[in-house]
Parts: sequence; C-alpha cells; structure tokens
Amino acid sequence: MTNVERRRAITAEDLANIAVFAALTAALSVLPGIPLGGAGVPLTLQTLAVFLTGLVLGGTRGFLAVALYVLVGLVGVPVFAGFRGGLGVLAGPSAGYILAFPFAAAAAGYVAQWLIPARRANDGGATNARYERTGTYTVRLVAGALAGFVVIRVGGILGLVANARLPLQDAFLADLAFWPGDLVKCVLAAVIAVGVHKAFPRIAGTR
Amino acid sequence: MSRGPDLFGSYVPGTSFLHRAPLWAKALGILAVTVAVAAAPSWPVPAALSALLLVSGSAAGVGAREWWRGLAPALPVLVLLALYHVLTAGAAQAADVVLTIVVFLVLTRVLMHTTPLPELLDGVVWLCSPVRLIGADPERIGLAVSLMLRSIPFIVGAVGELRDAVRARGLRPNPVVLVTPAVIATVAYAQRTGEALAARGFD
Repeated sequence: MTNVERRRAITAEDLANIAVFAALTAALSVLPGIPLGGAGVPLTLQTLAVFLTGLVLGGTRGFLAVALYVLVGLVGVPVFAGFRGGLGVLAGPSAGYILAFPFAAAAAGYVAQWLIPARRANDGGATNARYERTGTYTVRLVAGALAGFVVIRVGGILGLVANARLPLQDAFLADLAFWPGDLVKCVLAAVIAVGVHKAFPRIAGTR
Repeated sequence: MSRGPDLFGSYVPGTSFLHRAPLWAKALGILAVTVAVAAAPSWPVPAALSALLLVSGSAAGVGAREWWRGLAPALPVLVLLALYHVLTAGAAQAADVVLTIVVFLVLTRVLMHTTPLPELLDGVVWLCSPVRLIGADPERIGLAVSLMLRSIPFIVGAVGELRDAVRARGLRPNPVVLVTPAVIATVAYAQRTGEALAARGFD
C-alpha cells in the first residue's frame, strides 16, 4: 500500500466537525437543564447532544466526536453533566452510560443513514425533500435516535450491575427512571436534526 | 459565575513529591490502585487505599474545600447505594461498594491537583500512539482535542446568548427553539474551522 495514493479517511472538514461536535456535547452537558412543559422538570441535554451528534454527523463521525468528548472528560476536563470529569467517573455507577455514549451516537447515525439513503447518495437534498413532503423524515430520524436510546440502556444497565453491584433486575428498575426524559430527547434530537439538515443539506451527504 | 466549565482543571503548582513525580510514575500508580481494588476481597483494601491517598493528597496541598468539591456531587448516589446494600446484603458489602467508588474520586482529586491538564492531555495522546497500526495519526487526536477545547467557549456563549434572547422576549424556554440555532451556529463554526485547516495545508 506504500505507493498507492490514498485520500485521508478523515478530511480537514471531518476533523473540524468531530472536534466542534465534541465541544457541543460538552456545552450541552454542563449547561443547566431547560425546564420542560407543564411539569417544569429541568431537562439536562447530555443524551440529547449524543443523539443529535449521531443524527447530524452520521455513524462514523458521530462515534468519533462523542468518543473524543468521553476521552477528554475521562482525562479530567469537567465536561460531564454537573461539571464532573476525571478518571474516577469510570468507577462510579454512571460509567456504563458514559462509555455507551459513543456507541449510541454510532447506532443513531448508522440507523438514520440506513433509513435515509439520500444521506449517502448526496443528491443535493432531492431525496430529503421527498421524505420531508411525505412527513416521514422526522419519523426516520426518531427511529435512529431510538437505536441510540437502546444502546444507552444496555450500557447503563451493565454499568449499574458492574459498579453499583445491583442485580440485573434492580439495575433495570433504576434505569427505568431515565426512560421518559430520554424518550423525549429522542424526539427533540430528531426535530432539531431536521432543522440542521435543512440549513446544511451538504453535511448529511458525505458519509 | 462563569458559564463554561473550568478548562484549566484544578491544578495548583507545588513542589511536593507528587508534584515532582513524572507522569508515567503516576500512571503506574493509578494502574496499581486499580489492580489492588479489583483484586481486593473486601472493604478494608479500598478503605486503606482511600486513607493513604487522602493523606498523601493532603500532604501535596489538597485542602478540605477541594476534597469536598470532588466528593459532594457523588454524595446523593453514594448514600442511596449504601442504603440499598445495607438493606439487601449487609454493611460489609455496602462499605465495599461505596469505598471502591470513593478511592477513585480521591485518586482523581490528587491527580488533578498535582498534574497540569495539558500534561495529562499530552499523556493521553501518547497513549493513543498505537492507532498508527490502523493507519491513523496520533497527532490528529491531539489537534482534535485542542480544537474541541478551543470551541467550547464559543458554543457555551452561543447557547447562553440564545437563552438570554428568549428570556428578554418573555418566551418560554423551549429546547427546540434554544438548541436548533445553536447547533446551526455550531455547524457553521465547524465549516469555518475546516476551511481554516485546509487553508493551512491540512489535507
């Protein structure tokens, strides 16, 4: 492979997108939650940012962006929810959730790409427009986010079993508390991703 | 009140033994603690290690307030876990579970107090050097890390401005209304950054 001229797998634009979306995930994780609806329960945006990164950047770049976020957080920059950070997080009960984030972004991105092939064909948004007319574009992105939701559940529950030493059944019940908020965030991430795709049809097309 | 995370960490310069220890020695220390805790049969091992780290950290200048800042956010979860395990399996297991988490919280405090964050980040980029084997370039990971850290203030500022704008107009803070323009500004910022990298000969 030495004499073969090969294009970099990660271009300058990809690298910038990965770094900036890692920063977006950090910013949305540390900002105070937004009070939602009538109940006024503050909604932290950490998992929203994870789903959104996958839906906007696609599986591969989404994975790398969130992995970069997790790496920087584990080194000690306080970018996790509540300004936490550092190696100690790995021993805590939320370790499974944090380690699942990159895979959740990947799952959301790959499922969205699979359901919306135009994102690979790069046809100038024509197929996207067709999906938008039929109203299924948002639904398909929600489906992508739900794939990420499932990955976070699996990782989070395994982390609770390993670090909090809960039996599987109790870990599942503890995790259930996060379902309503995370399901809302799946829908929100899809709605926001539709807006971003409309503003930048090109970003959805490359990979 | 600052809006962004404290990107400089909690490093405090000093001349203690731990401040002067090279990064590889600290990494070996962390590895040793991890192995000891993982292999430990019960709570006295993490308890002894926590005590040891508390003493050496205090000797390196970690004050009461800094210890508290590191432990306080985890406290509610630790109390819940302790209660759960006391009720289901007894005090010994509760102590084991809680102290295992505490050891690493204390360890993190000591590491962050005695090591500048840029040094830690350089160490991680070095640890990533095996990515060469799959054709990737560890230098790019370092570049991505610094681009990310440089971008956080811009994005936190963008979201904060939108929040203020929404509040000034008396609207209810709706996540879609708040986040969509922030993400669009983020993508535009990423494109400018990508163009700037390309203009400097980055392929």
